[in-house]
Amino acid sequence: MPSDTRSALQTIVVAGDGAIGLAAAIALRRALPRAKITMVPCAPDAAAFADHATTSLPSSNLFHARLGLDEVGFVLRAAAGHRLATRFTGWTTSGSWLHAYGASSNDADVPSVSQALAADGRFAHPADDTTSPLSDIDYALRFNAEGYAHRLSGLANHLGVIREPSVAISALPDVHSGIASIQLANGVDLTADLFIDCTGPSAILSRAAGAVFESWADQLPCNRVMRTTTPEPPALSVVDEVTAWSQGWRSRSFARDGTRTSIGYQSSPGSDTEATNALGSDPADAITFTPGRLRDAWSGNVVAIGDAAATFDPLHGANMALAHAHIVLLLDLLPSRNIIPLERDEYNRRASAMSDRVRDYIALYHCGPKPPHGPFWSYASSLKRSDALSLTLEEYKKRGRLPFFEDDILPRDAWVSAMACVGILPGKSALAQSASPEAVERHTKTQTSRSTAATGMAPPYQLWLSNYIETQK
Amino acid sequence: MNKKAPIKVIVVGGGTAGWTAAAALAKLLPSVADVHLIESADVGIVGVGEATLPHIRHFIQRLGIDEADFMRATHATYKLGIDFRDFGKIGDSYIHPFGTFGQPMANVPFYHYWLQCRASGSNADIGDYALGVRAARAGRFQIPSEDDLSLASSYGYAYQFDATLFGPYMRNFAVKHGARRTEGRITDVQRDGLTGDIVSVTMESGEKFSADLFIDCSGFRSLLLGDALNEGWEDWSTWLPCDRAAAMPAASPPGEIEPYTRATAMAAGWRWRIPLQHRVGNGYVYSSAFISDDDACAALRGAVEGQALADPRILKFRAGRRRRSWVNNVVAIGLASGFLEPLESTSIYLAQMAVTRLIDLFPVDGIDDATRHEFNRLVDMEYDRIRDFLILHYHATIRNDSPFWDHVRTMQVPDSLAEKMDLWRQTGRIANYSEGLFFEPSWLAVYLGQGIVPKGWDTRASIPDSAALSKAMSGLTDEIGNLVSAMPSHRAFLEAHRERLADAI
Repeated sequence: MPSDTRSALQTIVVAGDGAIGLAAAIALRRALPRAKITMVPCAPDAAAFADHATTSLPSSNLFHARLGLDEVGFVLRAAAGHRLATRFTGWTTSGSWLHAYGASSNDADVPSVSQALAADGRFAHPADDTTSPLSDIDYALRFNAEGYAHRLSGLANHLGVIREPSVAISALPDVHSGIASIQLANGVDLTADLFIDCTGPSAILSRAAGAVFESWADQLPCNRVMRTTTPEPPALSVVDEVTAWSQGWRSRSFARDGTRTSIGYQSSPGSDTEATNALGSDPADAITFTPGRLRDAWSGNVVAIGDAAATFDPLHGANMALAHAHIVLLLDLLPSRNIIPLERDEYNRRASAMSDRVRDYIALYHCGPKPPHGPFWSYASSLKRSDALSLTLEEYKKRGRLPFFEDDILPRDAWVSAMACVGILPGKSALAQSASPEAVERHTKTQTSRSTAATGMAPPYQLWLSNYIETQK
Repeated sequence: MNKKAPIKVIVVGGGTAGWTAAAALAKLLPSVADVHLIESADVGIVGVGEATLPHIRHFIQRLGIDEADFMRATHATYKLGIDFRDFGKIGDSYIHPFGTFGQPMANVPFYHYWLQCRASGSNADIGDYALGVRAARAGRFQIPSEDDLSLASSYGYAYQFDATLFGPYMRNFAVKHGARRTEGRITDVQRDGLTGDIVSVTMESGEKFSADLFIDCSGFRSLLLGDALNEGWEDWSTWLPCDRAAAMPAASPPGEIEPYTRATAMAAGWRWRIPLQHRVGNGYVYSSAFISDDDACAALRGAVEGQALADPRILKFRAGRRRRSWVNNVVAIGLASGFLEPLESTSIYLAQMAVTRLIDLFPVDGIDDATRHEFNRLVDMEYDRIRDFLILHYHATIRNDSPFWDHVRTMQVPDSLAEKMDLWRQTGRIANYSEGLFFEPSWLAVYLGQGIVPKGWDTRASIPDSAALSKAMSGLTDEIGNLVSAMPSHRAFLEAHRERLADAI
């Protein structure tokens, strides 16, 4: 093996050709146009939530743009639609809460711009000019998974990513480097300078390289997800819905190609029957998984991305967003042919911090003061909380403060919004308590006028969308 | 709304830290904190901190202080960075600017391309690609652009001011915003037998003052946290052996005013030079284990340019911090909490940072362990990171001309620093964090300025062909050169903004 620190990676094999493997291959190809990037399919794993995602978080919009994937392409070819908010119902006694993206409102009684638009079924792209109320907006896309993968696949081919026809079946460990090669079903042995493991929770390459899985079952209650066979007819909306039921959560996503329902719960005798009833339709698949992450997402010469690195229930669409953040981190710390352990350690430190913070964000959903009724929720409330989550909850309740954590991929507003969703009210800081009544009133007025003005500026979503498609054609 | 009674706060000590704390609490928490400061004329102000960091601008803006008024009152000049001389080896000089070096290309930080060019034989200084460095070298100043995308926004600035005027300025501000002031010496401290909290302090006059929260800004003496509560001291003098400073003001030279602070390494420490409106602050920070006070003073006299305005005055300190800054109902801020020598002008920052944290966490509903713990976590993180960054300045050297430099060159540094340095040496990566002080450009400035060139860097820097790359690099230096030429000299800028001047300079 070459030992020159400065020699660039020449060969990279990406195992797994789902949405995450494709994104990783495109990103690496763009970063290293002279390297040979080979993609190897692997047996699809239904529990690879990031690969099968039909939505992500707003942060993925930037990631797509960086790869050269524009939004209009997803709208035209992957039936992409825009989500401003998710309505959470059943977490608080007051009914439901619009968990909206973008700037949150500083006054619980006044809607934020995104909430106002979501409640009214309106949409506009965020404005760059911060004086415009539309600059408060942020949004996520939902899309057709096949259309999404097809588009990425087209770009990967266009960029010259090599596609192996045969499926990866195993990896040969190597005590020094991690893995020596991966074996394909057609008997071919593939070697590379670096392997990217996008094989889903089975993490075939990483496990061969000695990676250790750490379960989050002590912190996250959900370990089974059930989805509908065929989507219901589409209903155009900028709002998705998540409802708490006695055994977990039930999500309805209004994509342009159909309405999808899924259920997250904990596996127990009889739970599938209850889930089927809650689903209100025939189940397509019921997937069991163990939430958790690899202790080191990068071991030896193998970097796990997506569910191979961290897996958890798809409550928010954070699965794909976390995988994208890990790809960006890998690009930031892209190694040379000679992988240096310290560089790998730095990647693992930061990748783990990202995963753990997302885990805490998911765990926040069972930390409300009045959790929904049912065995799932009483079990969930008995679960362990990480120190970081405990500190976050305590500081927020006490004085409305969110302590800073390095490598948190969720913006502050997302935490504020999630807290409101489950009925955790911000405490009043000393600064807030010293604010004069006039200042508070001024603040409320500003928020009200911003949200009202935005409603006047943003058209109904259907109108916005047809205009958008028309002008982009 | 039912208004709670305000929390009674006593600030002990009327130096920079004490009045900064009193001013911020009085202004920002008017109905929440009742601020009372006790100061004694017997206790002198240390007042070493004359150079600051850009954070001070946000701090004074937050208090609603007008920059011009503030600069006029403290005889302030602008500061674009620090010129470190003779640190990596004798004859070296590099500027650690408030700002960035170059701009990323294809999402790869600029310095990787610079390393690539260097390996191909270029000898351009990394500072040539930093607007802050170039403006400083040219003695020019302009307020940075607010357009984030513009190259003209790629630097920041702070102030160099007279610390003996800063404290009184904050005092006037604090008193104007309702802080009470008592002069006198504290002779006794009363503690609650059960909780250990401080209940009251007794003055020499016999007067007694009680409070809910005590802020100890009594300097090194640490009257409350150290003396009364006996909180232990974590000593860092093995790594930061400088424990004294000899300070001596000199007359300003005629002509231009350098828009930066100079730090020049000396045989047993280093010497500062801070140009103000009316004079130049000078001082030799040294280790008493390696040089006597007399020799240090003589060395300072010999080195100072221009006419001395006073005899050298000796200050004593020690590097380290109290194990905890907040114990019971006592929060220590400034030197009472810890000390890091002024090599990177962090003293005033540390006091302001602690005040800001205290305001964020201000215990309206009573003090609890969680609040204390969170405050200490945040303060410790800042101290630890700055400590490592300072140690780097001493350790990254090939100087072997004196026992002092032999010691710091060969000492075993904290693991947290050793790991960062190894990562840099082997891979050209800078350990990432985004809260606190001193991010990537700062580490880069010191690593490269003191001769630690990494063995590896991002291989993507070799993707552009070398002709195209050197064209892009020289294009950048030209663009920076044009921006610098368009700036007025530092003195011309100040004179064009006369409201910032104490009087004609």
